[in-house]
Amino acid sequence: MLGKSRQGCITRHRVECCLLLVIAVFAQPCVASDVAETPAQVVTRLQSGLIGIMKEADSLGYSGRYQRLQPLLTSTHDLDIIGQIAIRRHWKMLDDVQRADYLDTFRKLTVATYASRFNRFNDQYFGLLDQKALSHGRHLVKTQLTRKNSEPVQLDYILHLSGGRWRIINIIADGVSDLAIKRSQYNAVMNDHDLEYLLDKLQQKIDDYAADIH
Amino acid sequence: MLQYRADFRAGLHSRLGCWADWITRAAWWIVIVAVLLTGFSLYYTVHNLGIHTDTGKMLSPDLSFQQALRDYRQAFPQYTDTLVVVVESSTPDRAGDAAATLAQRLTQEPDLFTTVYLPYGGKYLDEHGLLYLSSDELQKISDNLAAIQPFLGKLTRDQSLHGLFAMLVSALEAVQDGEPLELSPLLDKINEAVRANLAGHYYQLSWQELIHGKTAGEETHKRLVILQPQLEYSQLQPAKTAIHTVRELVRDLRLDPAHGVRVRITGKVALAHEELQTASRGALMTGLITLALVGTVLLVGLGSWQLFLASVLTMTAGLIMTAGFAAFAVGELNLISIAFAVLYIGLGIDYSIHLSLRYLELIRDSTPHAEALREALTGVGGSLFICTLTTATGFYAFVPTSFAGVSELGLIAGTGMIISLLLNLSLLPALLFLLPPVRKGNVQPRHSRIMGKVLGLPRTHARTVLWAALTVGVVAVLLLPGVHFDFNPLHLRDPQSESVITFRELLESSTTSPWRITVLTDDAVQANSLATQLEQLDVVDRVHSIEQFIPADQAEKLLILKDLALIVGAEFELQQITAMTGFNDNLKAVKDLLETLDRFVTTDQDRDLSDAAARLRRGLKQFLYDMAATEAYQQDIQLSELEESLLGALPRQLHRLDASLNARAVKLETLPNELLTRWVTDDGRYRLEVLPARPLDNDANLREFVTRVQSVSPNATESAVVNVAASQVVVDAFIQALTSAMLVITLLLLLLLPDKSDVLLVLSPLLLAAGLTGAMAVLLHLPFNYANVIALPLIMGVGVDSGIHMVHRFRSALPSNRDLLGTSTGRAVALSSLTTLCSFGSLAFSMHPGAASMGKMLTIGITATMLCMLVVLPALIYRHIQSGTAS
Repeated sequence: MLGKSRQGCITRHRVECCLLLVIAVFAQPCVASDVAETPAQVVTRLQSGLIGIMKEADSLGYSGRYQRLQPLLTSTHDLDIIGQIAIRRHWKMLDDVQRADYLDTFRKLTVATYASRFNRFNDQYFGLLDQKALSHGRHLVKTQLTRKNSEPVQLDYILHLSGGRWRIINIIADGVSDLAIKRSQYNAVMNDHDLEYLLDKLQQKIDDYAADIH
Repeated sequence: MLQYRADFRAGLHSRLGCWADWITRAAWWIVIVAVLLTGFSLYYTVHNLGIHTDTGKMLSPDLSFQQALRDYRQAFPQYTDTLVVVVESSTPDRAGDAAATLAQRLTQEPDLFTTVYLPYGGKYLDEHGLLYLSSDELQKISDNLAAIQPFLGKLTRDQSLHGLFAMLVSALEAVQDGEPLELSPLLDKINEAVRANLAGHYYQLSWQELIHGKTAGEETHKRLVILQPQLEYSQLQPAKTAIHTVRELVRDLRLDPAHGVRVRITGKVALAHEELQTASRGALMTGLITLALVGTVLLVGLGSWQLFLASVLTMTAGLIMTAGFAAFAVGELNLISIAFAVLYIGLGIDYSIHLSLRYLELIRDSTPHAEALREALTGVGGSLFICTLTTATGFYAFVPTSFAGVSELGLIAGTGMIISLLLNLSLLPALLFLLPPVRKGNVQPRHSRIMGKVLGLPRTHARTVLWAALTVGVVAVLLLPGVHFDFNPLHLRDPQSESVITFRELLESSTTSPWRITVLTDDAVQANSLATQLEQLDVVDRVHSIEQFIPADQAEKLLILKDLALIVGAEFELQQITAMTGFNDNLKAVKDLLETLDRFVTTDQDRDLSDAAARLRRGLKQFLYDMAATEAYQQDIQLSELEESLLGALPRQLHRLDASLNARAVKLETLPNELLTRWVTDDGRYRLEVLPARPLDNDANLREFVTRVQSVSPNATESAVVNVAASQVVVDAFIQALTSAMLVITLLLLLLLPDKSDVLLVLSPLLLAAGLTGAMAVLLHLPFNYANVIALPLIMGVGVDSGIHMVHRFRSALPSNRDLLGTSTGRAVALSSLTTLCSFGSLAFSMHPGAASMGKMLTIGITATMLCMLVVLPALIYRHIQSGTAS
């Protein structure tokens, strides 16, 4: 149901929604983050936010988690850049409206994915392992996620400076790069179809995540 | 004029008489003086005569292409005298790694190798190599890497059999979940590795191909290492140590087919080195056989040991004295002028033969010893004198040519002829006088009646012979336009030798062709405009310059790489291997994979994949079965070997990938010095490399390539240009030398011979012989080349000498039956041709194609000359006598 209404919003009031979101993105950092945050602090803020959401997962419900995650993710990630890199080859062929549409869907999908995955607290905790400056002005923060009854997962965050703030642009879970998966999935779709088709697919996923909960 | 000629001949005759009388009195003195002179000459030669094999030095340094080459070598010395090590493997990884390792080790021998260059390799190319791909190619690689990153990422942490197979299991599961992964090529490659290990063959999985998303073809991957060895010119084989070092290193590093690599050595230096080896292979044996053969022919032909001994001693002394003269006058012999020895032996022994056989003839006719000597000397001495005058002058006519090789040859050989005359008129008779006299009883009787008839054939069938000669002559003239000069130095070398085979393979492709043209330009602007002009020629594939090392569309490519660095993550940068796996983990991984494959074989999702899965399953089962039959420690080794086959190349490829993700913008100033100095000089001159569009192992292609490029840029240089330009100079020089020699000889003959018609008698069979030689060369597909062209002066010399002897004999002592062939002169011409055939014609069987072609050319030429002098000339003389009597 929520999925349906969202889709309606995009198809009917696409431009308005985009504008709203853009405002939201620009407004968020001032509220939620410290100007002088270090890369590790950004990651820690994200992770403690996630723990908090997981602890209240049931009471919040999917839409509650979604609402809480949206500002958290937009203030810790550079979602526009991630979205852009994921379809880099096709990006230059898109016009402004298409780009805005795509980024909007991409941001929603990211939040939806988190909202769907971080749905239960299982005594998880994050630990900071190491950090290191990388080439191209990037920074690596290595952390570990420990869960009850399963192997710990190594989560490596790559951040870059965006408008003077460190933002996450890729996450590598046990060696598997999130951006790589996105790039190959999106490429596979875009090579055979057009942007509309990709957006439909992404929206489908968002709807599925939402539907799963209900 | 006629009076003058008669006076000259009469004077010569009487002086020779006096001379002969004097020799009988001073025989010992002559021998002593000759021995002293020979000894001194030998000492002087050994200490002063050098040999250099650089063909470039044979040509005048003032020639424009020589100057261009000199300028170029001064500007870029690193391209001169190189060894090219060709490293090949079935995978780019192995070829690249092997070449890099070899190059790295060779750099540690700076005393032996001045420069070690790895084209398209080394640290700089590891880092910036991806920028040289097109944006599209780079994007494809980038997408492919994104697709395989999830697996590569895991594998990076666990670079073991366990890591690889666990990754495969999860990849196969992902496919079952609907992920569009192309796994069958990888499964097949792993199966290949398993099969190779079962068979005990070397195999290495190419990670470069997997990373770049290429499916491997059958092609061989070549990498070159270009070395500049320090040549030890004091040694007989200057490159021996360098080549030996490379081979030893290759053996130490196990760069052999058993380890998936083939290393071969070629390049100018290796070609020259192997040529020396071919030339010396079996040379001693062939030399001894030839010597025995020549000795036997001479001994049988001369029919007495005294004559044999005297002739051989005279020839040896003359050869040594001529070498002494060469040391004094030239100092250094080259590959052409060293042929003076061939000329000397070929012509020098003839003088002795003519004298000896005439002496023998007189002994047989019951002339007393001293009288026979005197008679032989005065009779044959006259024609020897004319022979020497004409051939020596003929050889001296070579001197003004622009080809130092030929001009020096002319000088030495001409003087050699004079030395030969002097010795044959002094030492030979002195020796014969001192040795026990030849007895009449020991002399073979005159030939039998049948032999006499055979020898009379040219007379009895003079008309037929002459018509036949005319016909053959006309046919020969028609064939002559087919004569050509083969300037390809590769054709003079053993086609089976490693360096030649490898060189030819490199010539097949424009990118590896060692024959390319280099153009030196004043600055970047000139370089660019010239490159554009040259690239418009259809004979040019492309033009390389330093510009080629500044990649196009860098901003776009750097962005792709920046994305890629992010996408593949920081794993490669950290090179962290977290997993420590042992035998049991690996074995379990094999079994886990087998289980997963079992599921795939039964499902019918994707035909290709299930087939590949079935193949790998069979392979792995066989592997486990075979392994179970061996001892525990053996099992460990087998599993480690499989691991090495599959993952041995991974670390270096990951390192390269990591390095290439950090590429920075490339500008002329940021290029490594090693690369820059190969293209730009300190004073700002730019080097252009012109690559041929068609393979240059074809003379027409080579010639066209060179002339077309030269038409655009006259100072084009390098081996290709020098080969073509030098061949023209050599051909011109030989044509000039032989033409002027023939002119001088004709003039001298007109002056010296008693009758004008005699000149025609000498020259017409000679011209016929020349025509026949050319025609036979055409028919036998034997082109002239740098080696066999030196046979021509000898053939000319033998021809002129034989003609003079025959005509002289006809004029001075024609036997009653008028059969010139039956005379000692006829026999001498036959015998001297025979000795030349045995000595130099035997080169036809040499291992060295250059020497062999010279042997063949000499055999053809001398046989043709012998036929013309012994069959056509007597018939001509007989017809001449007949017409004389008739008139």
